[in-house]
Amino acid sequence: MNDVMTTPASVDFGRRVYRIGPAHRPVMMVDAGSLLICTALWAATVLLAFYAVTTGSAQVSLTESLRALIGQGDAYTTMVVAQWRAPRTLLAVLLGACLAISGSIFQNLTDNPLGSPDVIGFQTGSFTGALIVMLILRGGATATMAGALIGGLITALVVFMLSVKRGAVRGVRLIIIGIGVSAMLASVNVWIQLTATVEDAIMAGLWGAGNLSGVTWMTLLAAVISSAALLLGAMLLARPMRLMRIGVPFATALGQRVRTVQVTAVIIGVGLTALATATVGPISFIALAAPQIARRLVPSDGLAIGPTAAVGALLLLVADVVAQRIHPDTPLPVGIVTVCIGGLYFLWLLIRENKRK
Amino acid sequence: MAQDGLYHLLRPSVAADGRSASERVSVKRLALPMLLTASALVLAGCADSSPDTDSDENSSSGGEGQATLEHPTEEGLELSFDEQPETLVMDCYAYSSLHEYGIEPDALFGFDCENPFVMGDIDISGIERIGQDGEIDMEKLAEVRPDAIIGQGDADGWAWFDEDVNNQLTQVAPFVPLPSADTIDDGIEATRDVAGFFGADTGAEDIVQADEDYDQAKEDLSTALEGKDLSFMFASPTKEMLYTGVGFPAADMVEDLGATVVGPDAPESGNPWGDVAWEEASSYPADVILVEGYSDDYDFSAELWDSLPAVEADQLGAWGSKGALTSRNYADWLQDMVELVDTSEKVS
Amino acid sequence: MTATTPASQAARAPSPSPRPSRAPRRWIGLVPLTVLCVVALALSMMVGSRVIPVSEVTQFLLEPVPDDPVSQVVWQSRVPRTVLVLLAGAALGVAGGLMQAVTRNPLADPGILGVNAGASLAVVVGLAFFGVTNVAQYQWWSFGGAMVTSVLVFAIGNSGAVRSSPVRMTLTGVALGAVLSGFTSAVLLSNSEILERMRGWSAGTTASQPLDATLSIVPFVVAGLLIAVLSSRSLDVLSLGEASAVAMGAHPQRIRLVALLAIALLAGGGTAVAGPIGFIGLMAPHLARTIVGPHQGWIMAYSVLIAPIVLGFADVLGRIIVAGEVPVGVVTAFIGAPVLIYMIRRHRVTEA
Repeated sequence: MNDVMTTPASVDFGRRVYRIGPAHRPVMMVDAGSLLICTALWAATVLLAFYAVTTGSAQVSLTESLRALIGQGDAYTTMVVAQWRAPRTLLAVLLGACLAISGSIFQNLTDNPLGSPDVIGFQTGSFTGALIVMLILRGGATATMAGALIGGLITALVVFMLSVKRGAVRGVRLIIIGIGVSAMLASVNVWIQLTATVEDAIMAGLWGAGNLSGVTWMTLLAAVISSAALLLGAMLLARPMRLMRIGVPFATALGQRVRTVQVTAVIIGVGLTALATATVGPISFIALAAPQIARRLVPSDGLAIGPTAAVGALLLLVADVVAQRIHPDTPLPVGIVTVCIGGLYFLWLLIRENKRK
Repeated sequence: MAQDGLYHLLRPSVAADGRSASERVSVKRLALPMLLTASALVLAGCADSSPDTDSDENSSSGGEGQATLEHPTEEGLELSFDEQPETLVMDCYAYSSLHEYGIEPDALFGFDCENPFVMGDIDISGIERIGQDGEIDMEKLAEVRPDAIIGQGDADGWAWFDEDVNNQLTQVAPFVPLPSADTIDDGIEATRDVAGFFGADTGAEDIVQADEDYDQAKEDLSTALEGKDLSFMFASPTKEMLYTGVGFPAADMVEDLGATVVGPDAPESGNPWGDVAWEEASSYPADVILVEGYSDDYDFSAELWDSLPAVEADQLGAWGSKGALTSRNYADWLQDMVELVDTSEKVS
Repeated sequence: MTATTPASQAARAPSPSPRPSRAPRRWIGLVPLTVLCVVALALSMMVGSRVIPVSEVTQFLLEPVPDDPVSQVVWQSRVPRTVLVLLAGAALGVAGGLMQAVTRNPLADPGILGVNAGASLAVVVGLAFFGVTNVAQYQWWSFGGAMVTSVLVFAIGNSGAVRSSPVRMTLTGVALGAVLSGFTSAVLLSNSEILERMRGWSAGTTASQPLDATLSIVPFVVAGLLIAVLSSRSLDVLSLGEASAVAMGAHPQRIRLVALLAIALLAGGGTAVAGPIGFIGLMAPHLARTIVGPHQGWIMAYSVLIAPIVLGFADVLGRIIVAGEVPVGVVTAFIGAPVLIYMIRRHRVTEA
């Protein structure tokens, strides 16, 4: 995996580009370096997923795991491998990608690395919604999910309503207002947790850190179905958003309907984050770090969905594998590990970047 | 297979962006992952339903050795076991209460496992830990292959897991909630019923002796309190606030025995603790303050706490909002209270 | 610090304001702010969760009666909290202003740049591994954590770069802050005892902070303020951009280093006594800048007054709003966010 991380050094000048389709009007252009790194990232993800599914605290041998996966295992191994590990691993990959793409959309829209959904308050809002349901209304899992969804969406709506001025959303204003709303909600969250018993506060805190435990095939199925349309939308957005980064007047001149693209991007970005947060809680830092890491691995402008999704998926999966194994007595919530691993790696990238220039 | 399925699920995002090598191979390989994913889902469907059929068999088999627990406090909850459950997993609250009856867990999880005020002098170092506080390693739990899981909660599972986690937990073994009761006496009684079900000899000599000691201690305390007009505060001091326990079963018991308990009532929802801003702490006249988790080397310090009359006079004792619901534990606590009452003066 | 130095005039040049000089208005503006600050501090003395008549408070202030519970409340709660509000407010407000100047990012504050997270982690480590129990000990751990984090953020953000990018420094702060709070959560969520002792502090509270402990932080804050004032002109030069600053004979790297020292002292000191209070460091310089324009000296002077005003009113509100108390950090965010949002909507976003 180390090889993968250090490859970008070789891709900075004269990128090779493959053209697909007729020569005069290529359907798409694939960057050679990007291609290589994406492949490597996805290969690493697949290998790690295989490791995650076949190992764990329960002593199930590799053969037994494989048998369980093809439906030949006994009740015990089937439960552990096919019902617990497999959906959890797949969900980590899916949601990692969702969060990363969402972050990439927002960072592009706001033209600022801080403009990711975890910084500008959507996840905080989701947590507020979930906390109200969990600790005040005493609702169950479905109600918590609904609370998180409503909380996140309302927060997003409020942030955008407040940021719109003369019909335009400006990046920096959006971020400052997002941080403001987020700080306000964060203190509401602290307050709600402070009024609860310690056990309840920890229960809520575990949800709030982002937690993949208890994932079932139903959870995964729901997530796949609801993310499909959003992910498709994100892919369609990639091209117009790249044009818009060159400049709004330029994009307009090229016939882009800038406003439509912006609104769609916001809806898709919020949708992806809301989906992930409602499913497993506010896993922080993937949305912020994955696009930034991807940009440093694969120099690109615009959405760069491929590398971003790959980095996000790998990041969340690594975090979950580590979270389940690092503490001798107990698993940790995955969100804590995403922060630590993603954050440290991101810091390392920053330091290295500094040294090179 | 799972990783192929995973590959498939995320493929759309890679392919349409056109930045991946998988672009050209995707069509060829699409069929296989799809098939595998589909089969995984079918498999999951089958597997999901299998535990249900298992439990149906359990309840209908009714063979010899079958054991049924009619839960003492959860109304209508009946738990049936094929045979007497032997391998047990407990949370630390359950173990603290059941230890005295000789019921030992094969693995532990939950809150306060290191808290001496909950665990007493029980040595848990030799027992496997499968989770800490709000987290549990479900695979380790499955690996223990328990017959039953005992802990604080209700018919649906442990109090501090969410539904999905509890579904996995009950997939491993039936969950037996610790009894919850409004008074200490009822709590001791109901806990004993559960201990009895798991094979404890509830008529054993030391248990009977503990009951006698408990009754005796109650009498002693009420005698000690007579003629001494002492007021008590059940408290848990923290930097930001003084939390007080009014209406906790232990406080109610002391009140029944003739003491005055001071402090604000708990807020209506959420939390059983009363909130007292530090400025207000001295407006509740307490002669004796019972501090949650108090011990000889307790060293919380804050100016307004240190200047409370009871703290200045060192009339402090211990209490626990959690901890073993047994006659022995409460007999000991009440005896400590008797000593504390004897040596305390009215200071407020 | 006067408004007529070449540097400050140059700094004002890009300002959207067409007015030729704001100097007299700036001086006049200090008057109502000073009055408001005094009002806030007076309220902090007079109002609390326990209702004590003003006359009684004044009387006990003049003649303390050690055994009287009301006198104890005045001297062990009201006085320390009022001093704390003034000290922590001024420190955090100016620290935020400095951070915004150095990173050239209007979003920078001790919360965003990870300093609060560092302080929290240090306190958690103290509680969990070094047996800290006394609330007065919290502050040295917090002070150390905040100092170390500030230095780390700036060291990493500036490391080896010929031209340091302010964006990179902000990113470093966010990343480092996230990592540190991740470690904190890891400890807290698997240790209910520590969480119980920690969670009140982590909201940011002025309660139970002894006066002498607060006063012991004064030298650091004063030193920080002095350095901040002395470096304000250089920061104005820096705000013109790296190239212009160098052309004018300034040493950007040296300026940043000096400012960092001030930030570490101020953010460390403020966080040490009040806990990780967010928003003050973001909001106070912002408000100041919208009044006085991009002029570091004035921004600092205004922040020194604005931050304690906000903190004071927030603390008083928190004391009376519910039966217990709402920690000031919660209230600050609650009144601070709408104000900030209002300012942002009314004015053009100032890219300091």
